[in-house]
Amino acid sequence: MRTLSTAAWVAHNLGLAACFGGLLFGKAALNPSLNAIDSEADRGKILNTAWNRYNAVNVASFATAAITWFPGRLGLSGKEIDQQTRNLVLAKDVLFAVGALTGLASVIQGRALTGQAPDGAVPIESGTTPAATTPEKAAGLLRSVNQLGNLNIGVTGAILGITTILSMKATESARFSAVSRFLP
Amino acid sequence: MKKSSRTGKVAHDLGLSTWFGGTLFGQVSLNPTVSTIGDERERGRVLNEAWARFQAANLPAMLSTLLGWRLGGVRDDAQLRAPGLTRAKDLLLGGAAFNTAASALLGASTAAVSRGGATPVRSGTKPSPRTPPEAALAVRLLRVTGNGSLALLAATVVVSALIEAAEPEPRGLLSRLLSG
Repeated sequence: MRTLSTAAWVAHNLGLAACFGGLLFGKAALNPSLNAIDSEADRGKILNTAWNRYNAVNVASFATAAITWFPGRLGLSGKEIDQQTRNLVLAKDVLFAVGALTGLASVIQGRALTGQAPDGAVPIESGTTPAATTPEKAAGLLRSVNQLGNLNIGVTGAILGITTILSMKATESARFSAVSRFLP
Repeated sequence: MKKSSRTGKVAHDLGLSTWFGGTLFGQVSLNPTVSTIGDERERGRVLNEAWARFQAANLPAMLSTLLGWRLGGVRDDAQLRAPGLTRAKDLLLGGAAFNTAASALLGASTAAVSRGGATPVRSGTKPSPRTPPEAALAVRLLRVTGNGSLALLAATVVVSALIEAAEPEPRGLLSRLLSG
């Protein structure tokens, strides 16, 4: 077994899984559940604290997935298998770039939202909807964080799907199997 | 032996990622964060609602993981590559499914103690002095099953990647001789 490339593959898959599932939990479970809290300011505090806590994991996970993708990808372009694989590799490159930009923008906007009130206690209706008492700037930040988050889930899901297809194509290709024997 | 279908494998991988990453968010982010809510009953209400919502998304994710593995041909393909790791993944997936189901039942029983799921707790895995005794035990057990799920799912993702990285084992006499 090729130790270094196998370790990178394991880290790559762990990073992508942590990103995708975590974002999904935040969007589908945490955000809509916040209106179970009576105080609108407490809703904002929990939203910001929980997301900022997870963002540390998320940034590390996404960075791990990207760091383990690009060096290996410089050596193997996908051409070793066929043109469709080459196109999927390029699509994954673009998705990683888009994911990095939207992820970073989401973290920056989230930090700015937290800074709108002490302890991030910005009054909100739910994790996706501003309340009548939400200051205008905070309302805009909440909307942009949500739009960026939705984009990020789509991008990470697409990276996961492409990763699976690339892995299947690699295992089915005799040419790739021959080339991959030289991986570290 | 059935060849793994592309749809089955994508469904398996997306399902496993949802299951692992979602559990990770809940354990490392939601569970400890609720302790900053002043009212202990509201902590319970948010926890129960958020985890129940996640279970609604996680059940299809679990099913697509398990069905993709057993019926989508993913396991058959893995068996050719790494029989030992395939058996290990069987055990890990079984353990993760058991722990996740146990967590869902314990969560539901904690919520059922109070109206609207507003059972007072210190955090997602720690009861408070105001937690009713029948719910306190369930909350303590949730720490075990929740951490158990997370560890087993992380191990499943690792083992799945190791299987993908493994070369298929030679099956025929000629292949064995050539690979030797």
